[in-house]
Amino acid sequence: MTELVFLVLLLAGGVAAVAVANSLVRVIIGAEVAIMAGIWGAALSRDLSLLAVAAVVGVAETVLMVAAVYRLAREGHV
Amino acid sequence: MLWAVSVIALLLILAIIRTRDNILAAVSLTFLGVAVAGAVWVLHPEFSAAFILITLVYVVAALTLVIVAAASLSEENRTVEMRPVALAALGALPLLLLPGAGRGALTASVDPVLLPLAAVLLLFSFVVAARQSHD
Repeated sequence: MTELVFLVLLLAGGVAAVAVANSLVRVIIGAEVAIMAGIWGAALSRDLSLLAVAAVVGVAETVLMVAAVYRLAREGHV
Repeated sequence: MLWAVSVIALLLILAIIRTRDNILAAVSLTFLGVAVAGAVWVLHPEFSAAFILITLVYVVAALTLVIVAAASLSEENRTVEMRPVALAALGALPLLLLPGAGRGALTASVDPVLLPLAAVLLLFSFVVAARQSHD
């Protein structure tokens, strides 16, 4: 039960951080919190392979998001 | 024990939402990563704690630096409006109530086939990120 509460807390917290964001950096931070919900959900599956895949995919996706916002910031869109 | 981690995570999320400073929010995100790694360790001590801790902490800490660098670049005060997107994502939360497949056996070893696949995915995303940000 506590596991599910923690999962919903991370998901809802990330979405709330995105909802109140006023800059793209905050949107990325909120998405990171939601990615942690994904990693926690993989940990709930009791399979270390799934947990590793979730962590690696979170890294790859975050790298792409940060690169995109860096490019946007250089062009003055953030 | 998990309750304590949940309370800490709730406080950190509230700090992320309430603070006006992007750098403080990124630092709170780092501590939230440590809290999630601790929660994984509390839930399954059989998992090699070093792998999970190092992965989560290293990733979040390294990306915090990049986010901070990007945040210091953007001084223009144009705001973004993401509330409809966030509410649409929140609409998917009831899917959590669907019954799952039940508890499987605990497997505390990584499938070795995953390692080259993960390496290729990371290399691909780093190449794309480098090409995108250094044109």
